[in-house]
Amino acid sequence: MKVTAPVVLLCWGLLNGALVLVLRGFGGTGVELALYGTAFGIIELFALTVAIAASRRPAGRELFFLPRSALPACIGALGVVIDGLGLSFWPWPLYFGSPFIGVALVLAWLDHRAKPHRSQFETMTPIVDGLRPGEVPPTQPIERLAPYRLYDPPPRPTTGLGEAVRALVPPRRGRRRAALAGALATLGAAALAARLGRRQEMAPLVDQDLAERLARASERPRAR
Amino acid sequence: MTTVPASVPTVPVPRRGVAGWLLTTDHKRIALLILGTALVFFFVFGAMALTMRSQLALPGMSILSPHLYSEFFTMHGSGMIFLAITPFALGLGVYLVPLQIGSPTIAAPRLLLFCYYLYLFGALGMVGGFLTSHGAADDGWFAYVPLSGSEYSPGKGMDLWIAGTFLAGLGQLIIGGAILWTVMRLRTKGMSLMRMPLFTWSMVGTTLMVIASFPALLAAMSMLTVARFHPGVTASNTFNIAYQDVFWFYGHPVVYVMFFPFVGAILDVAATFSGRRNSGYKWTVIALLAFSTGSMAVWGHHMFTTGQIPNDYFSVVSIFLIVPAGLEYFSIISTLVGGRLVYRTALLFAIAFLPQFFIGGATGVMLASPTLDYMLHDTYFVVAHFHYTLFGGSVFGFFAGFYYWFPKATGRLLDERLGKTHFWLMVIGTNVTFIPMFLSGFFGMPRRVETYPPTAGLTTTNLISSIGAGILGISMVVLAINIVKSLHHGERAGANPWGAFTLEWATSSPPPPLNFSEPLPYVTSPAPLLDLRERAELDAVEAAEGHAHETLLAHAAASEEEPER
Repeated sequence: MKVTAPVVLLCWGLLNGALVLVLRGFGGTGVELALYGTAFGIIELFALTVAIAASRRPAGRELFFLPRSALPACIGALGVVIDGLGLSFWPWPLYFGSPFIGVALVLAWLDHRAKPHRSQFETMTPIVDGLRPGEVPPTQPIERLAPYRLYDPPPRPTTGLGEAVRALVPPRRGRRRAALAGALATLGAAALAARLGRRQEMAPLVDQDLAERLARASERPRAR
Repeated sequence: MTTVPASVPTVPVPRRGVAGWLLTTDHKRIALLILGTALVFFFVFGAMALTMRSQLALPGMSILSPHLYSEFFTMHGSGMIFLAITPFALGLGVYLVPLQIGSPTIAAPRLLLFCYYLYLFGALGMVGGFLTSHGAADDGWFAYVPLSGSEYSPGKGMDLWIAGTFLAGLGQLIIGGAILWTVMRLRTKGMSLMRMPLFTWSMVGTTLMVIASFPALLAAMSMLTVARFHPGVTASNTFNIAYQDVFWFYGHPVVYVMFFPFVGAILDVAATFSGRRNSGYKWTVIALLAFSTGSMAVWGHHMFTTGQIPNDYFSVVSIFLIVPAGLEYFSIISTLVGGRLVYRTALLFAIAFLPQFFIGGATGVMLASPTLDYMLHDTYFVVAHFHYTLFGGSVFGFFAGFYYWFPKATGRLLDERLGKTHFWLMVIGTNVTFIPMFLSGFFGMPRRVETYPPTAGLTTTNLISSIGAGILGISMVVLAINIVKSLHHGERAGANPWGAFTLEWATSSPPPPLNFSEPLPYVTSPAPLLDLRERAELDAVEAAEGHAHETLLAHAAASEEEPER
């Protein structure tokens, strides 16, 4: 059998599937079987995805997407981090973090549409998976990965907001002042929001009633 | 202006300065960010370990309060696993896999940068727990419930730990997926699966485990969140055991995630510095895949003493793992035996890995027996065992790779004399620190205690361990000096300073933005550069033979002509 990517993944998953069955034979419980079974499923799903990708485009002819800007990654991460770490303290950071994620997704989508950054090694012939019996290996490096060139990125599509700001605040020093004022206003708004958030009557994080009821229920002797 | 043909891939001019690093989509820069951050955390959590060893050097020391000691061992354990060694493993993969398979980029580079930020800020969140009123998390790196519930661990430190672990784990899961997709889809021409270098194969095993097991970490952290919001759920033992199951379903494979890439590194280092191909390539690949499969099935051996799992199954499967591990050992040793060894620092680390990891593995087989585990569970014996696997094994493997690939990433060689000093200090420090821990454990010293009675007979072994830890601390200082010195004044490396065989050495050091600007050799085996060299030698021999043959023919022709004359 030819060792291809989907086959490797499939076999790795199936080996795990076999071990799930052995665990079942040894008396594994529901949680254990569910856990291991899910992992098996995830790997098989990955194998399926690779198989579909391979059927659509042979290996070595994959499109290399070269992103124009990494800004969406930074903005998106900022949103997720605000949400994730902020939720340890208060529920309201969710309102701050989510817009960042939205903006990041939009920016990433706009970037993805920019075709010049999507490159394909069209000159490459299909991958040669091995020399045929008796075939003489080449004595020279015969293949050349397509060379690359550095270029200045084309102007990106804008919303016009930047031009409007530049038109409204022409001098350089004025722009700096505007930026400083904007930053101060943002900080002020954040401080105000924090203050308001603290004033709010927060729902108790721990449902004491439920805890007590469950504790009582666990103490109660079970009916046979 | 130069016209660029449509078929030629293009790349934006890389930014310079700090923005060039923080907004990069070059997989090499992202990998260096991951590795650099992980190295910083390695030093920070290593310093915590040194402080704990100082506390335990003699009975009754008061360097750390009991509570702070609990915070330190929790953050040392979780930090080293989530934030230092796992990122070392994945960072090496992000840097090297595209280079080794001849790909100009990695799949989803921008997503990788996103994941790096998740990891970085998740890590800062975890460590930030020290700034909260109740301090950082203090329940051990596995955070068992109900101990880690809000009743017994109040405060935001634990919440931050959960959130940080979730974010870092999510980032690492996606990084694993991107590496695997790169291997599966972006290989260069001729690079079939069975022609990939063994390091790349080890990354395949690693990332398969990441994809299969890291979701369990996210599930475990979600369960912890539920337990902290609704402590009542922990009143049921079913929930607590289910949490242990879910956590260890991640917790055991992650040990192999922290180990596999370094086995791959050692296999590559062994081949290069012995000047020959890896011995038993096919069986090593099979062993790597079988090992990673088996590692998914053994999580229950951490729960033998709960009495809630089928001990016999987990014991048998755990012991079975010595078969693929043994195959890998044979591959490394048989590559070294018979080779012309060049004892550079990288090879020394690779050789030291073998006996040290063997100690870790052999004691692991002991612990895979439930009978012994009931006696040794939660003692220093277990601490010594996993430090031999993770420090004596993984960290030594990491440093083998570090000394080997540092010239590729920076263009400069690390200082050999400082490197060998670092190596010997680490070997001495590791064994002086961790061998006495086996004895402490055997004498009954439990884990996670900040002191012990002077009459318990544990003073000598603990004192020796602490002295060893000090030696390890000094070795890290030597490493730091070496890195700083070599970055500024190190010898220029050139493209292939070791005469290595894999494709990452077929490009400049450090590589250009799209990795390769020169023709790649046709890949006919896992050692394409050695193939080229051998072909060139063969051509030279054939040319010489042809020349000799022609000369002989000429002589013969001349001698035949002479009588006629």
